[in-house]
Amino acid sequence: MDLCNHRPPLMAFASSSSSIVLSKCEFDVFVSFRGADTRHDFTSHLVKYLRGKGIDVFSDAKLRGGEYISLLFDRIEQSKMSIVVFSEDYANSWWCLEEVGKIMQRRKEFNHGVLPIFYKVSKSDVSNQTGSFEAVFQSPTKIFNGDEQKIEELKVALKTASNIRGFVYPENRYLK
Amino acid sequence: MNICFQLPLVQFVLNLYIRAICSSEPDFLDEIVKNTFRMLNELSPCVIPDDLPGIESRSKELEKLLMFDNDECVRVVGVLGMTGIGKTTVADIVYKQNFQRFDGYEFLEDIEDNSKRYGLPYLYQKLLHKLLDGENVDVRAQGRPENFLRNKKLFIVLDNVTEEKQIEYLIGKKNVYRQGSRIVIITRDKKLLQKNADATYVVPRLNDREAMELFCLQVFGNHYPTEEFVDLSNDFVCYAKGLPLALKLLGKGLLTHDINYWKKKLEFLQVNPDKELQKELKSSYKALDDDQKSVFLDIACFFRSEKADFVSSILKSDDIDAKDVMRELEEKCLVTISYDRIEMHDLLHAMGKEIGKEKSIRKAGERRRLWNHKDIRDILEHNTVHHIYSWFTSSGILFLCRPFTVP
Repeated sequence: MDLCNHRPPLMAFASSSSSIVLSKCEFDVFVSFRGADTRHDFTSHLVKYLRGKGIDVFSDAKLRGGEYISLLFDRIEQSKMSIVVFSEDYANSWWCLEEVGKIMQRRKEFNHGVLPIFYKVSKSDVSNQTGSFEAVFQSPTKIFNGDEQKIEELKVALKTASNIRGFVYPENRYLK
Repeated sequence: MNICFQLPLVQFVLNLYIRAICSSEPDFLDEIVKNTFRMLNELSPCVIPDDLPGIESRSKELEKLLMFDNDECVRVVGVLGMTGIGKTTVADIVYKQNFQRFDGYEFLEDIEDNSKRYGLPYLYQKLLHKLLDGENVDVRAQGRPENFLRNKKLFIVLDNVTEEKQIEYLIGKKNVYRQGSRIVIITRDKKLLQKNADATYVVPRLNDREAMELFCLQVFGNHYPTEEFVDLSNDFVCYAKGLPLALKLLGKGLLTHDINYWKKKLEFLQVNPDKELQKELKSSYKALDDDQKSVFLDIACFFRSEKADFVSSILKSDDIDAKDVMRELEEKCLVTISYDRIEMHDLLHAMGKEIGKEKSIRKAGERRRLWNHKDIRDILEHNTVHHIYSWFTSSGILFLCRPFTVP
Protein backbone atom coordinates (compact mmCIF):
# COMPACT_ATOMS: atom_id res chain seq x y z
CA MET A 1 0.00 0.00 0.00
CA ASP A 2 1.45 3.29 -1.00
CA LEU A 3 0.83 5.56 1.93
CA CYS A 4 2.63 8.55 0.59
CA ASN A 5 1.06 8.90 -2.77
CA HIS A 6 -1.78 11.17 -1.87
CA ARG A 7 -1.02 14.16 -3.99
CA PRO A 8 -3.31 14.71 -6.90
CA PRO A 9 -1.52 13.61 -10.06
CA LEU A 10 -2.38 16.86 -11.78
CA MET A 11 0.87 18.74 -11.48
CA ALA A 12 3.47 16.69 -13.21
CA PHE A 13 6.35 19.14 -13.23
CA ALA A 14 9.42 18.58 -11.19
CA SER A 15 9.83 21.29 -8.66
CA SER A 16 13.15 22.87 -9.43
CA SER A 17 14.09 25.79 -7.37
CA SER A 18 11.72 26.00 -4.45
CA SER A 19 14.11 25.60 -1.64
CA ILE A 20 11.88 26.16 1.34
CA VAL A 21 10.90 23.58 3.83
CA LEU A 22 7.66 24.74 5.32
CA SER A 23 7.50 22.23 8.09
CA LYS A 24 8.55 18.74 8.97
CA CYS A 25 4.92 17.71 8.63
CA GLU A 26 4.15 15.53 5.66
CA PHE A 27 0.51 16.45 5.43
CA ASP A 28 -1.42 19.61 5.93
CA VAL A 29 -4.65 18.02 6.98
CA PHE A 30 -5.73 14.70 8.42
CA VAL A 31 -9.41 13.99 7.83
CA SER A 32 -11.18 11.89 10.43
CA PHE A 33 -14.54 10.54 9.34
CA ARG A 34 -16.91 7.62 9.64
CA GLY A 35 -16.53 5.83 6.34
CA ALA A 36 -19.91 4.20 6.41
CA ASP A 37 -21.61 7.58 6.87
CA THR A 38 -19.80 9.91 4.59
CA ARG A 39 -17.11 8.22 2.56
CA HIS A 40 -19.03 8.22 -0.67
CA ASP A 41 -20.44 11.66 -0.56
CA PHE A 42 -19.49 14.43 1.76
CA THR A 43 -16.01 13.38 2.84
CA SER A 44 -14.83 12.28 -0.56
CA HIS A 45 -16.02 15.54 -1.97
CA LEU A 46 -14.41 17.55 0.80
CA VAL A 47 -11.10 15.78 0.35
CA LYS A 48 -11.21 16.27 -3.38
CA TYR A 49 -12.02 19.92 -2.90
CA LEU A 50 -9.21 20.50 -0.43
CA ARG A 51 -6.72 18.73 -2.69
CA GLY A 52 -7.93 20.76 -5.64
CA LYS A 53 -6.94 23.84 -3.67
CA GLY A 54 -3.46 22.50 -3.21
CA ILE A 55 -3.90 21.36 0.36
CA ASP A 56 -2.08 18.16 1.16
CA VAL A 57 -4.69 15.87 2.68
CA PHE A 58 -4.32 12.52 4.33
CA SER A 59 -7.50 10.53 4.32
CA ASP A 60 -7.49 6.81 3.86
CA ALA A 61 -10.05 4.40 5.14
CA LYS A 62 -7.89 1.54 3.94
CA LEU A 63 -5.67 1.95 6.94
CA ARG A 64 -8.42 0.97 9.25
CA GLY A 65 -8.02 -2.52 10.51
CA GLY A 66 -5.74 -4.51 12.77
CA GLU A 67 -2.21 -3.31 13.24
CA TYR A 68 -2.70 -0.11 11.32
CA ILE A 69 -3.93 1.95 14.24
CA SER A 70 -0.36 2.97 15.06
CA LEU A 71 0.16 3.97 11.43
CA LEU A 72 -2.96 6.05 11.64
CA PHE A 73 -1.63 7.76 14.73
CA ASP A 74 1.61 8.45 12.86
CA ARG A 75 -0.37 10.13 10.11
CA ILE A 76 -2.12 12.33 12.64
CA GLU A 77 1.23 13.27 14.10
CA GLN A 78 2.56 14.02 10.63
CA SER A 79 -0.29 16.41 9.89
CA LYS A 80 -0.48 20.03 10.90
CA MET A 81 -4.17 19.92 11.59
CA SER A 82 -7.23 17.68 11.43
CA ILE A 83 -10.69 18.09 10.09
CA VAL A 84 -13.08 15.91 12.07
CA VAL A 85 -16.31 15.10 10.28
CA PHE A 86 -18.77 14.17 13.00
CA SER A 87 -21.62 12.22 11.48
CA GLU A 88 -24.46 10.15 12.84
CA ASP A 89 -22.55 6.94 13.29
CA TYR A 90 -19.19 8.48 14.15
CA ALA A 91 -19.12 7.42 17.78
CA ASN A 92 -20.09 3.88 16.94
CA SER A 93 -16.72 3.33 15.37
CA TRP A 94 -13.89 2.33 17.62
CA TRP A 95 -11.48 3.77 15.04
CA CYS A 96 -13.13 7.13 14.96
CA LEU A 97 -13.07 7.43 18.71
CA GLU A 98 -9.40 6.47 18.81
CA GLU A 99 -8.72 9.07 16.16
CA VAL A 100 -10.55 11.92 17.81
CA GLY A 101 -8.88 11.02 21.11
CA LYS A 102 -5.47 11.17 19.51
CA ILE A 103 -6.28 14.36 17.61
CA MET A 104 -7.41 16.17 20.73
CA GLN A 105 -4.34 14.98 22.59
CA ARG A 106 -2.15 16.38 19.82
CA ARG A 107 -4.07 19.62 19.98
CA LYS A 108 -3.42 19.94 23.68
CA GLU A 109 0.24 19.01 23.56
CA PHE A 110 1.44 20.17 20.17
CA ASN A 111 -0.97 22.86 19.07
CA HIS A 112 -2.36 20.58 16.37
CA GLY A 113 -5.16 22.45 14.59
CA VAL A 114 -8.68 21.07 14.72
CA LEU A 115 -11.64 22.01 12.55
CA PRO A 116 -14.84 20.13 13.44
CA ILE A 117 -17.66 19.65 10.97
CA PHE A 118 -21.02 18.54 12.27
CA TYR A 119 -22.47 16.66 9.38
CA LYS A 120 -26.13 16.05 9.97
CA VAL A 121 -25.58 15.77 13.70
CA SER A 122 -26.18 18.37 16.32
CA LYS A 123 -23.34 19.92 18.14
CA SER A 124 -24.89 19.21 21.50
CA ASP A 125 -25.18 15.49 20.77
CA VAL A 126 -21.44 15.36 20.24
CA SER A 127 -20.75 17.55 23.22
CA ASN A 128 -22.98 15.71 25.70
CA GLN A 129 -22.86 12.28 24.09
CA THR A 130 -26.57 12.22 23.49
CA GLY A 131 -28.57 11.13 20.45
CA SER A 132 -26.56 8.90 18.18
CA PHE A 133 -23.50 9.57 20.31
CA GLU A 134 -25.12 8.08 23.39
CA ALA A 135 -25.37 4.37 22.77
CA VAL A 136 -21.70 3.52 22.78
CA PHE A 137 -21.15 5.15 26.14
CA GLN A 138 -24.13 3.32 27.59
CA SER A 139 -22.33 0.03 27.30
CA PRO A 140 -18.76 0.97 28.11
CA THR A 141 -17.57 -2.60 28.47
CA LYS A 142 -18.00 -3.00 24.75
CA ILE A 143 -15.44 -0.35 23.98
CA PHE A 144 -11.93 -0.25 25.32
CA ASN A 145 -12.68 -3.17 27.60
CA GLY A 146 -14.32 -0.86 30.05
CA ASP A 147 -11.14 1.19 30.55
CA GLU A 148 -12.82 3.98 32.49
CA GLN A 149 -9.98 6.43 32.31
CA LYS A 150 -9.85 6.09 28.57
CA ILE A 151 -13.59 6.48 28.25
CA GLU A 152 -13.50 9.60 30.38
CA GLU A 153 -10.74 11.01 28.18
CA LEU A 154 -12.83 10.35 25.11
CA LYS A 155 -15.84 12.12 26.59
CA VAL A 156 -13.70 15.12 27.36
CA ALA A 157 -12.22 14.95 23.87
CA LEU A 158 -15.66 14.99 22.27
CA LYS A 159 -16.79 17.83 24.47
CA THR A 160 -13.72 19.90 23.74
CA ALA A 161 -13.90 19.18 20.03
CA SER A 162 -17.51 20.28 19.83
CA ASN A 163 -16.61 23.62 21.35
CA ILE A 164 -14.05 24.46 18.72
CA ARG A 165 -15.09 26.86 15.99
CA GLY A 166 -16.36 24.75 13.15
CA PHE A 167 -19.15 24.11 10.70
CA VAL A 168 -22.61 22.66 10.88
CA TYR A 169 -24.09 21.02 7.86
CA PRO A 170 -26.77 21.38 6.48
CA GLU A 171 -27.38 24.59 8.41
CA ASN A 172 -24.40 26.05 6.62
CA ARG A 173 -23.62 28.34 9.46
CA TYR A 174 -20.26 29.30 10.81
CA LEU A 175 -20.21 28.73 14.52
CA LYS A 176 -18.62 30.77 17.17
CA MET B 1 -28.33 -11.52 -12.85
CA ASN B 2 -30.19 -9.46 -10.41
CA ILE B 3 -27.02 -7.92 -9.09
CA CYS B 4 -25.74 -7.22 -12.55
CA PHE B 5 -28.86 -5.32 -13.25
CA GLN B 6 -28.81 -3.37 -10.09
CA LEU B 7 -25.21 -2.25 -9.81
CA PRO B 8 -25.26 0.32 -12.59
CA LEU B 9 -28.52 1.61 -11.24
CA VAL B 10 -27.07 2.03 -7.77
CA GLN B 11 -24.06 3.73 -9.28
CA PHE B 12 -26.30 6.01 -11.25
CA VAL B 13 -28.40 7.02 -8.26
CA LEU B 14 -25.26 7.49 -6.22
CA ASN B 15 -23.80 9.75 -8.88
CA LEU B 16 -26.96 11.79 -8.97
CA TYR B 17 -26.81 12.08 -5.23
CA ILE B 18 -23.19 13.16 -5.29
CA ARG B 19 -23.96 15.67 -7.97
CA ALA B 20 -26.83 17.04 -5.92
CA ILE B 21 -24.57 17.39 -2.93
CA CYS B 22 -21.83 18.96 -4.99
CA SER B 23 -24.09 21.58 -6.42
CA SER B 24 -25.53 22.53 -3.06
CA GLU B 25 -22.24 22.54 -1.25
CA PRO B 26 -19.69 24.72 -2.96
CA ASP B 27 -20.22 27.66 -0.65
CA PHE B 28 -20.00 25.43 2.35
CA LEU B 29 -16.85 23.75 1.07
CA ASP B 30 -15.37 27.09 0.14
CA GLU B 31 -15.84 28.26 3.69
CA ILE B 32 -14.16 25.12 4.98
CA VAL B 33 -11.24 25.58 2.62
CA LYS B 34 -10.86 29.22 3.62
CA ASN B 35 -10.81 28.31 7.26
CA THR B 36 -8.46 25.43 6.67
CA PHE B 37 -6.06 27.78 4.95
CA ARG B 38 -6.38 30.29 7.72
CA MET B 39 -5.71 27.63 10.31
CA LEU B 40 -2.74 26.20 8.41
CA ASN B 41 -1.40 29.67 8.02
CA GLU B 42 -1.67 30.38 11.69
CA LEU B 43 -0.15 27.04 12.59
CA SER B 44 2.83 27.32 10.31
CA PRO B 45 3.10 30.59 8.51
CA CYS B 46 5.77 30.26 5.86
CA VAL B 47 8.65 31.26 8.03
CA ILE B 48 11.44 32.96 6.19
CA PRO B 49 13.98 30.18 6.05
CA ASP B 50 17.19 30.96 7.88
CA ASP B 51 19.31 29.12 5.36
CA LEU B 52 18.81 31.84 2.76
CA PRO B 53 20.70 34.90 3.99
CA GLY B 54 19.41 38.16 2.63
CA ILE B 55 16.12 36.70 1.48
CA GLU B 56 14.02 38.63 3.96
CA SER B 57 14.98 42.10 2.80
CA ARG B 58 14.69 41.04 -0.83
CA SER B 59 11.26 39.51 -0.50
CA LYS B 60 10.09 42.60 1.41
CA GLU B 61 11.27 44.79 -1.46
CA LEU B 62 9.35 42.71 -3.97
CA GLU B 63 6.24 42.72 -1.77
CA LYS B 64 6.41 46.48 -1.56
CA LEU B 65 6.37 46.73 -5.35
CA LEU B 66 3.47 44.29 -5.59
CA MET B 67 1.31 46.48 -3.33
CA PHE B 68 -0.86 43.60 -2.14
CA ASP B 69 -3.12 45.86 -0.13
CA ASN B 70 -4.26 47.80 -3.12
CA ASP B 71 -7.34 46.08 -4.51
CA GLU B 72 -8.11 48.76 -7.05
CA CYS B 73 -5.61 47.76 -9.67
CA VAL B 74 -4.07 44.86 -11.50
CA ARG B 75 -0.31 44.96 -11.12
CA VAL B 76 2.41 43.28 -13.11
CA VAL B 77 5.85 43.27 -11.51
CA GLY B 78 9.05 42.03 -13.10
CA VAL B 79 11.84 40.31 -11.24
CA LEU B 80 15.08 40.90 -13.10
CA GLY B 81 18.66 39.75 -12.72
CA MET B 82 21.42 37.55 -14.08
CA THR B 83 21.41 33.76 -13.90
CA GLY B 84 21.84 32.45 -10.39
CA ILE B 85 21.22 35.74 -8.61
CA GLY B 86 18.15 34.28 -6.84
CA LYS B 87 15.18 35.69 -8.77
CA THR B 88 13.12 32.54 -8.50
CA THR B 89 13.94 32.09 -4.83
CA VAL B 90 12.77 35.59 -3.95
CA ALA B 91 9.55 35.21 -5.95
CA ASP B 92 9.03 31.77 -4.45
CA ILE B 93 9.08 33.14 -0.91
CA VAL B 94 6.77 36.01 -1.78
CA TYR B 95 4.38 33.56 -3.46
CA LYS B 96 4.37 31.18 -0.52
CA GLN B 97 3.73 33.97 1.93
CA ASN B 98 0.93 35.63 0.05
CA PHE B 99 -0.99 33.13 -2.05
CA GLN B 100 -3.70 32.83 0.58
CA ARG B 101 -4.84 36.35 -0.18
CA PHE B 102 -6.03 35.26 -3.61
CA ASP B 103 -8.93 33.29 -5.01
CA GLY B 104 -6.69 31.56 -7.52
CA TYR B 105 -2.94 31.27 -7.79
CA GLU B 106 -0.27 29.49 -9.76
CA PHE B 107 3.50 29.51 -9.97
CA LEU B 108 4.48 28.33 -13.45
CA GLU B 109 8.02 27.03 -13.21
CA ASP B 110 10.74 27.51 -15.80
CA ILE B 111 8.58 28.64 -18.70
CA GLU B 112 11.46 28.53 -21.14
CA ASP B 113 12.21 24.91 -20.51
CA ASN B 114 8.64 23.74 -20.06
CA SER B 115 7.32 25.56 -23.09
CA LYS B 116 9.98 23.86 -25.18
CA ARG B 117 9.12 20.54 -23.65
CA TYR B 118 5.32 20.70 -23.52
CA GLY B 119 4.37 23.70 -25.66
CA LEU B 120 2.65 26.91 -24.62
CA PRO B 121 -0.91 25.62 -25.19
CA TYR B 122 -0.34 22.90 -22.65
CA LEU B 123 1.10 25.35 -20.11
CA TYR B 124 -1.86 27.63 -20.65
CA GLN B 125 -4.28 24.79 -20.13
CA LYS B 126 -2.44 23.84 -16.96
CA LEU B 127 -2.56 27.42 -15.73
CA LEU B 128 -6.30 27.69 -16.36
CA HIS B 129 -6.98 24.34 -14.78
CA LYS B 130 -5.29 25.48 -11.59
CA LEU B 131 -6.75 28.98 -11.58
CA LEU B 132 -10.25 27.70 -12.19
CA ASP B 133 -10.10 24.94 -9.59
CA GLY B 134 -9.81 22.04 -11.94
CA GLU B 135 -12.71 22.96 -14.17
CA ASN B 136 -11.89 21.79 -17.62
CA VAL B 137 -11.94 24.70 -19.96
CA ASP B 138 -11.62 23.84 -23.60
CA VAL B 139 -9.77 26.85 -24.96
CA ARG B 140 -10.34 25.80 -28.54
CA ALA B 141 -14.06 25.43 -28.11
CA GLN B 142 -14.78 28.30 -25.78
CA GLY B 143 -12.10 30.80 -26.70
CA ARG B 144 -10.19 32.68 -24.06
CA PRO B 145 -12.05 32.15 -20.83
CA GLU B 146 -11.90 35.78 -19.90
CA ASN B 147 -15.21 35.78 -18.14
CA PHE B 148 -14.12 32.92 -15.93
CA LEU B 149 -10.93 34.72 -14.96
CA ARG B 150 -12.62 38.00 -14.27
CA ASN B 151 -14.45 36.54 -11.30
CA LYS B 152 -11.35 35.85 -9.34
CA LYS B 153 -8.56 37.73 -7.70
CA LEU B 154 -5.52 35.93 -9.07
CA PHE B 155 -1.85 35.64 -8.24
CA ILE B 156 0.26 34.31 -11.09
CA VAL B 157 4.02 33.90 -11.23
CA LEU B 158 5.75 33.15 -14.52
CA ASP B 159 9.24 31.84 -13.91
CA ASN B 160 12.10 32.22 -16.39
CA VAL B 161 10.28 34.01 -19.18
CA THR B 162 12.47 34.43 -22.24
CA GLU B 163 10.14 35.57 -25.00
CA GLU B 164 7.42 38.13 -25.46
CA LYS B 165 5.04 35.56 -26.89
CA GLN B 166 5.14 33.56 -23.65
CA ILE B 167 3.66 36.51 -21.80
CA GLU B 168 1.17 37.20 -24.57
CA TYR B 169 0.01 33.61 -24.62
CA LEU B 170 -0.15 32.88 -20.92
CA ILE B 171 -1.26 36.23 -19.54
CA GLY B 172 -2.80 38.13 -22.41
CA LYS B 173 -4.24 41.53 -21.73
CA LYS B 174 -4.13 43.02 -18.28
CA ASN B 175 -7.72 44.23 -18.39
CA VAL B 176 -8.94 40.62 -18.42
CA TYR B 177 -8.07 40.29 -14.77
CA ARG B 178 -10.02 41.30 -11.78
CA GLN B 179 -8.76 44.25 -9.81
CA GLY B 180 -6.49 43.16 -7.03
CA SER B 181 -4.86 40.49 -9.18
CA ARG B 182 -1.06 40.30 -9.28
CA ILE B 183 1.28 38.92 -11.89
CA VAL B 184 5.00 38.39 -11.42
CA ILE B 185 7.30 37.91 -14.40
CA ILE B 186 10.72 36.46 -13.64
CA THR B 187 13.20 37.08 -16.43
CA ARG B 188 16.77 37.86 -17.40
CA ASP B 189 15.59 40.18 -20.15
CA LYS B 190 14.69 43.73 -19.23
CA LYS B 191 13.22 44.28 -22.67
CA LEU B 192 10.31 41.96 -21.90
CA LEU B 193 9.38 44.05 -18.90
CA GLN B 194 9.49 47.46 -20.49
CA LYS B 195 6.15 46.98 -22.18
CA ASN B 196 4.54 44.57 -19.75
CA ALA B 197 5.46 45.47 -16.21
CA ASP B 198 4.29 48.27 -13.94
CA ALA B 199 7.40 47.96 -11.82
CA THR B 200 10.60 45.96 -11.80
CA TYR B 201 12.59 44.55 -8.94
CA VAL B 202 16.24 44.09 -9.82
CA VAL B 203 17.58 41.41 -7.50
CA PRO B 204 20.88 42.67 -6.08
CA ARG B 205 23.98 40.58 -5.42
CA LEU B 206 24.51 39.32 -1.90
CA ASN B 207 26.62 41.61 0.19
CA ASP B 208 29.81 40.20 1.74
CA ARG B 209 28.20 39.22 5.00
CA GLU B 210 25.26 37.51 3.32
CA ALA B 211 27.58 35.77 0.88
CA MET B 212 29.82 34.49 3.64
CA GLU B 213 26.81 33.24 5.55
CA LEU B 214 25.38 31.39 2.56
CA PHE B 215 28.73 29.83 1.76
CA CYS B 216 29.25 28.71 5.35
CA LEU B 217 25.75 27.28 5.57
CA GLN B 218 26.53 25.17 2.52
CA VAL B 219 29.90 23.97 3.72
CA PHE B 220 29.84 24.03 7.49
CA GLY B 221 26.11 23.93 8.17
CA ASN B 222 26.78 27.01 10.25
CA HIS B 223 26.72 30.75 9.78
CA TYR B 224 30.48 31.05 10.32
CA PRO B 225 33.52 29.23 9.01
CA THR B 226 35.64 27.10 11.29
CA GLU B 227 38.89 28.75 12.26
CA GLU B 228 41.12 26.71 9.99
CA PHE B 229 39.06 27.69 6.94
CA VAL B 230 38.49 31.39 7.58
CA ASP B 231 40.96 32.72 5.01
CA LEU B 232 40.10 30.21 2.33
CA SER B 233 36.40 30.80 2.87
CA ASN B 234 37.01 34.48 2.34
CA ASP B 235 38.82 33.73 -0.91
CA PHE B 236 35.99 31.59 -2.23
CA VAL B 237 33.36 34.12 -1.22
CA CYS B 238 35.39 36.81 -2.92
CA TYR B 239 35.55 34.68 -6.06
CA ALA B 240 31.76 34.22 -6.18
CA LYS B 241 31.18 38.01 -6.14
CA GLY B 242 27.85 37.78 -4.38
CA LEU B 243 26.24 35.29 -6.74
CA PRO B 244 24.17 32.81 -4.69
CA LEU B 245 24.32 30.11 -7.35
CA ALA B 246 28.12 30.24 -7.35
CA LEU B 247 28.30 30.15 -3.56
CA LYS B 248 26.03 27.15 -3.46
CA LEU B 249 27.82 25.19 -6.17
CA LEU B 250 31.27 25.99 -4.83
CA GLY B 251 30.16 25.11 -1.32
CA LYS B 252 28.69 21.84 -2.48
CA GLY B 253 31.91 20.93 -4.28
CA LEU B 254 34.04 21.62 -1.21
CA LEU B 255 31.87 19.81 1.28
CA THR B 256 33.72 17.05 3.17
CA HIS B 257 37.04 17.89 1.51
CA ASP B 258 40.21 18.75 3.42
CA ILE B 259 42.14 21.98 3.38
CA ASN B 260 44.55 20.83 0.68
CA TYR B 261 41.73 20.20 -1.69
CA TRP B 262 40.39 23.69 -0.97
CA LYS B 263 43.76 25.24 -1.80
CA LYS B 264 44.07 23.28 -5.03
CA LYS B 265 40.55 24.14 -6.03
CA LEU B 266 41.18 27.83 -5.43
CA GLU B 267 44.32 27.72 -7.54
CA PHE B 268 42.40 25.94 -10.27
CA LEU B 269 39.71 28.59 -10.22
CA GLN B 270 42.22 31.37 -10.79
CA VAL B 271 42.86 29.94 -14.24
CA ASN B 272 39.76 27.91 -15.13
CA PRO B 273 36.09 28.45 -14.44
CA ASP B 274 34.23 25.94 -12.31
CA LYS B 275 32.69 23.40 -14.69
CA GLU B 276 29.31 23.06 -13.04
CA LEU B 277 28.94 26.77 -12.59
CA GLN B 278 29.99 27.32 -16.16
CA LYS B 279 27.25 24.96 -17.33
CA GLU B 280 24.59 26.91 -15.44
CA LEU B 281 25.79 30.33 -16.52
CA LYS B 282 26.14 29.26 -20.12
CA SER B 283 22.37 29.03 -20.49
CA SER B 284 22.19 32.81 -20.69
CA TYR B 285 24.91 32.84 -23.34
CA LYS B 286 23.25 30.14 -25.40
CA ALA B 287 20.06 32.15 -25.60
CA LEU B 288 21.82 34.95 -27.50
CA ASP B 289 21.77 35.40 -31.25
CA ASP B 290 25.01 35.22 -33.22
CA ASP B 291 25.78 38.93 -33.18
CA GLN B 292 25.13 39.16 -29.48
CA LYS B 293 27.31 36.13 -28.81
CA SER B 294 30.13 37.59 -30.84
CA VAL B 295 30.03 40.99 -29.13
CA PHE B 296 29.69 39.38 -25.71
CA LEU B 297 32.77 37.23 -26.28
CA ASP B 298 34.76 40.18 -27.58
CA ILE B 299 33.89 42.18 -24.51
CA ALA B 300 34.65 39.30 -22.17
CA CYS B 301 37.98 38.55 -23.80
CA PHE B 302 39.25 42.05 -24.40
CA PHE B 303 37.13 44.99 -23.48
CA ARG B 304 35.96 44.66 -19.97
CA SER B 305 36.04 47.98 -18.10
CA GLU B 306 36.74 49.86 -21.30
CA LYS B 307 34.80 52.91 -22.38
CA ALA B 308 31.60 51.87 -24.05
CA ASP B 309 32.05 54.27 -26.97
CA PHE B 310 35.51 53.03 -27.65
CA VAL B 311 34.33 49.40 -27.60
CA SER B 312 31.41 50.00 -29.89
CA SER B 313 33.56 51.91 -32.33
CA ILE B 314 35.93 48.96 -32.59
CA LEU B 315 33.30 46.25 -32.72
CA LYS B 316 30.95 47.86 -35.14
CA SER B 317 30.91 46.60 -38.69
CA ASP B 318 28.67 46.82 -41.71
CA ASP B 319 26.50 44.06 -40.30
CA ILE B 320 26.61 44.82 -36.63
CA ASP B 321 25.64 47.98 -34.86
CA ALA B 322 27.71 47.23 -31.80
CA LYS B 323 26.10 49.96 -29.75
CA ASP B 324 22.68 48.37 -30.15
CA VAL B 325 24.01 44.93 -29.42
CA MET B 326 25.71 46.19 -26.28
CA ARG B 327 22.44 47.68 -25.13
CA GLU B 328 20.73 44.34 -25.77
CA LEU B 329 23.38 42.58 -23.72
CA GLU B 330 22.78 45.05 -20.94
CA GLU B 331 19.05 44.35 -21.07
CA LYS B 332 19.81 40.68 -20.79
CA CYS B 333 21.81 41.27 -17.62
CA LEU B 334 25.06 40.07 -19.16
CA VAL B 335 26.91 43.38 -19.05
CA THR B 336 26.38 46.63 -17.26
CA ILE B 337 27.33 50.03 -18.53
CA SER B 338 28.01 52.52 -15.82
CA TYR B 339 29.77 55.84 -16.18
CA ASP B 340 30.16 54.90 -19.83
CA ARG B 341 32.34 51.94 -18.95
CA ILE B 342 31.33 48.43 -19.87
CA GLU B 343 31.42 45.98 -17.01
CA MET B 344 30.44 42.39 -16.39
CA HIS B 345 30.21 40.05 -13.44
CA ASP B 346 33.52 38.30 -12.77
CA LEU B 347 31.99 34.88 -13.29
CA LEU B 348 30.37 35.83 -16.59
CA HIS B 349 33.72 37.28 -17.54
CA ALA B 350 35.42 33.97 -16.77
CA MET B 351 32.72 32.14 -18.68
CA GLY B 352 33.11 34.40 -21.72
CA LYS B 353 36.86 33.97 -21.78
CA GLU B 354 36.51 30.24 -21.52
CA ILE B 355 34.03 30.08 -24.38
CA GLY B 356 36.29 32.33 -26.43
CA LYS B 357 39.09 29.86 -25.80
CA GLU B 358 36.97 26.77 -26.45
CA LYS B 359 36.05 27.88 -29.94
CA SER B 360 38.05 25.57 -32.18
CA ILE B 361 40.26 24.65 -29.33
CA ARG B 362 42.37 22.25 -31.33
CA LYS B 363 44.26 24.85 -33.26
CA ALA B 364 44.85 28.10 -31.55
CA GLY B 365 45.51 29.74 -34.89
CA GLU B 366 41.89 29.28 -35.87
CA ARG B 367 40.53 30.92 -32.78
CA ARG B 368 39.02 34.27 -33.29
CA ARG B 369 39.91 35.47 -29.84
CA LEU B 370 43.30 35.07 -28.24
CA TRP B 371 43.79 36.53 -24.83
CA ASN B 372 46.24 34.18 -23.22
CA HIS B 373 49.79 35.41 -23.75
CA LYS B 374 51.13 31.87 -23.93
CA ASP B 375 48.78 31.00 -26.76
CA ILE B 376 49.65 34.20 -28.57
CA ARG B 377 53.37 33.63 -28.31
CA ASP B 378 52.90 30.06 -29.41
CA ILE B 379 51.07 31.09 -32.50
CA LEU B 380 53.46 33.82 -33.45
CA GLU B 381 56.43 31.52 -32.97
CA HIS B 382 54.96 28.72 -35.01
CA ASN B 383 53.55 31.06 -37.58
CA THR B 384 50.18 29.39 -37.74
CA VAL B 385 48.38 32.61 -38.35
CA HIS B 386 48.08 34.07 -41.78
CA HIS B 387 47.12 37.55 -40.93
CA ILE B 388 46.72 39.56 -37.79
CA TYR B 389 44.88 42.68 -36.92
CA SER B 390 45.88 43.81 -33.54
CA TRP B 391 44.69 46.34 -31.06
CA PHE B 392 46.17 47.39 -27.82
CA THR B 393 43.60 48.17 -25.25
CA SER B 394 44.34 50.05 -22.10
CA SER B 395 44.56 46.79 -20.19
CA GLY B 396 47.40 45.90 -22.49
CA ILE B 397 45.73 42.99 -24.21
CA LEU B 398 46.56 42.00 -27.71
CA PHE B 399 43.50 41.56 -29.82
CA LEU B 400 43.56 39.46 -32.91
CA CYS B 401 40.57 39.69 -35.12
CA ARG B 402 39.03 39.07 -38.51
CA PRO B 403 40.34 35.67 -39.49
CA PHE B 404 42.14 35.98 -42.74
CA THR B 405 42.66 33.26 -45.24
CA VAL B 406 45.32 33.40 -47.88
CA PRO B 407 43.89 32.47 -51.26
